[in-house]
Amino acid sequence: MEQTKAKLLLMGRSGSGKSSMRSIIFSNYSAFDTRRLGATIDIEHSHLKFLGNMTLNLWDCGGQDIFMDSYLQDNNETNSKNHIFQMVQVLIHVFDVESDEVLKDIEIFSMVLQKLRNSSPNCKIFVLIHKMDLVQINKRDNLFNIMMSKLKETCSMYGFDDVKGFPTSIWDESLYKAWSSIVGSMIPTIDVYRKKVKKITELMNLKEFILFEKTTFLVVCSSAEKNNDNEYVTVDNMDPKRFEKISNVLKTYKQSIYKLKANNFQELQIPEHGIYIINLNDNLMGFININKPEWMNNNLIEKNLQKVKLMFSNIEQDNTD
Amino acid sequence: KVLQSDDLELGLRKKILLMGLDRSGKSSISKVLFNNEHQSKNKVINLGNYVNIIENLKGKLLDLKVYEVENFDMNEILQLQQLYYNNNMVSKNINSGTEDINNMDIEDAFYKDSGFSKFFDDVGTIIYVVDSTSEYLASLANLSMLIELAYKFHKASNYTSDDFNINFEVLIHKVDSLNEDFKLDTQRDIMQRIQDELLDLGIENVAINFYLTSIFDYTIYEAFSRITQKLILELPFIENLLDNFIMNCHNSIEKIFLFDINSKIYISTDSSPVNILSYEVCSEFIDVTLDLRDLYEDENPRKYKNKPLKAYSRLNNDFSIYMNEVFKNLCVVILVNNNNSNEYANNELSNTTNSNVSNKMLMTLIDYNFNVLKGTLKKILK
Ligand SMILES: Nc1nc2c(ncn2[C@@H]2O[C@H](COP(=O)(O)OP(=O)(O)OP(=O)(O)O)[C@@H](O)[C@H]2O)c(=O)[nH]1
Ligand SMILES: Nc1nc2c(ncn2[C@@H]2O[C@H](COP(=O)(O)OP(=O)(O)O)[C@@H](O)[C@H]2O)c(=O)[nH]1
Ligand SMILES: [Mg+2]
Repeated sequence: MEQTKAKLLLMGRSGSGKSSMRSIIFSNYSAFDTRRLGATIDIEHSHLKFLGNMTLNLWDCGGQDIFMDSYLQDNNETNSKNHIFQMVQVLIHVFDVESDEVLKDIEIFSMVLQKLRNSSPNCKIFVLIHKMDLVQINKRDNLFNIMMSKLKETCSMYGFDDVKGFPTSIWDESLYKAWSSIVGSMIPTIDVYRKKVKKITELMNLKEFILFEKTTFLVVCSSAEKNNDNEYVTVDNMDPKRFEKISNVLKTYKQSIYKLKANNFQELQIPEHGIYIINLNDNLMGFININKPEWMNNNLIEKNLQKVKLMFSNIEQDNTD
Repeated sequence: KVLQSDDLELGLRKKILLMGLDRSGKSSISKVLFNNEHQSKNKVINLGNYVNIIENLKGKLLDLKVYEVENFDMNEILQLQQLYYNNNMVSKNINSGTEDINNMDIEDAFYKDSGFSKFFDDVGTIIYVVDSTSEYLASLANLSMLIELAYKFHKASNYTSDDFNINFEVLIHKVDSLNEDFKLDTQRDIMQRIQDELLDLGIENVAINFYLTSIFDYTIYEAFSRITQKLILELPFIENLLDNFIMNCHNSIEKIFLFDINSKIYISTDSSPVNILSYEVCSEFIDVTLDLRDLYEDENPRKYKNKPLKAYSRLNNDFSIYMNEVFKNLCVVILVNNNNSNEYANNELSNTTNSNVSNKMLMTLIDYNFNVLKGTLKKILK
């Protein structure tokens, strides 16, 4: 099975929240725990296994000015620092929404972009406008749009036309939405997953089927029932934030059961409401919402769930074909 | 609101008052536990035309009403008492013209005044919040005056029975900001001072208990659980039912709780000791279930609200968690240890080692016992 490696740079000014989000998504910290984090010294590397055959090399770059200067200086003799910007697949740049040095933040961002244009011109750019919880709810959209248009402009100046931005906060589910999208964009076999999920949704007439990565609970992909009968249930009137909410709830649950020394769970079901969350294989969890659970008999549901498990038990091998 | 047949409630008729000085943490506590501000009603109790005490009806736990009392200042009450005394002196002087007015009579009359004593009517428990991080002497003085007042009202209105039946529950609160040693010193100090004070006042047989609490961990839930349980007459019987439940499931159950879904206070549990971690996991499981259920809520609220809330989860180790709604707002949460159940299954069906099968059997067994429990609870609470 082929291993895919990807290098992700996590950048932004000191205190903007980089290490906090990394710890929450990849190391099971709670939002509350992040208050313990100190400023990152230089660069912290982590190698994260994702979906079995992917390794994410995440470079969390300490954002204090002295470190930023050292990454950015053009020192051609001792090229030691310049490798930072080489072979980068993804840049995730974090902006503190409450920052009182916005111009400086943007200036540093452009310097990073300039480096990347030379060393990794094909890199994908994600910007996170972070700590949104500190902004009044009715002002968030506007603020985000203003920031984004400014940042998009900056990106296109350096030839990066495809930039994605997200408003995020460690205190709500927005963080999962952003990271699901970032990581999802890097999964080479995503189409295999998509096809399978879609097929199962149709075959079993599910309301919805969502595939989660098991350690992070980031969404891999999902499929929902098309509006095939004249009932109210359509994708359109489902809660648009449900994926992130599920990630958040399940991650909280996973943390909760640590207290019983369980490192994860095998299944969680709320049968009357047709909700079944099952462990599919070493890397994946499936969230299944069954249409009209009251019409189904328990044995049938269970048999179907077994079949779904089978379809995923060897999915990673299939990918090598 | 018309009660549905499933809408049973435990038979608590007594009031719980939540009192304490300003900024001691009362509002924070009722917010954390009952967190339903939209339901809060302000009710004014008229205290003998002298002062209005605002009663804040914050939460409803089964049939238990918790009133948060704001602006309750003992000094004010004492001034009132003085005022009352003076007024009566004057009026008695005018009416009778005699000098031999008995002070005791007037005091007695004060305590019998229907307006005042109404405040203590039906009160089962007074929870008194002391801010442990501040200078608490004034708060303790206020508390002993409160106890004295309650005691005298009780004496004045109950000649017959001698036992003073209001529980005083003192929350030594905000202990999250104290270190471990200081916490215990503070507790000892507060307990000692109050005992001394009561001795001085000559008040005996007052049930007074102390709890170290904080809204930032489970101590506040634990304290309220224990406080509430004292008011449930059927408690020993319920505890017995839960013990039987465990026995009938071949010892594969580690712990069983009966929860109030809204507040996460546990109404009862089996007789084995409570491990705070088990309590936390069970309580958090209710939240996880509610959150997941509510995800698709908007689609058809009418249909889904009537469905009982039931959930089950198998963990990566030997544990499983089972929850099921007994009736509105009351549910059982069970911590299952599959390890024991495997043994049981192996014994019963010698050639079945498949843990899935034994799991299924166990669930059937638990479902069955749950229905028995539900039936019995319905009967005794009716
Ligand atoms: N209100 C709020 N605070 C946050 C959020 N994310 C992080 N923080 C807080 O911001 C502080 C700094 O976060 P870090 O993650 O250490 O910042 P950093 O970007 O890694 O900083 P350097 O390592 O110095 O570059 C921590 O105390 C976090 O708790 C957020 O979304 N909202
Ligand atoms: N550290 C700590 N602070 C608390 C706790 N409970 C309440 N507080 C704080 O104490 C202050 C007063 O609380 P409040 O509920 O308004 O008091 P009330 O006047 O009695 O209703 C608030 O700032 C709360 O945040 C606690 O358990 N620990
Ligand atoms: Mg850091």
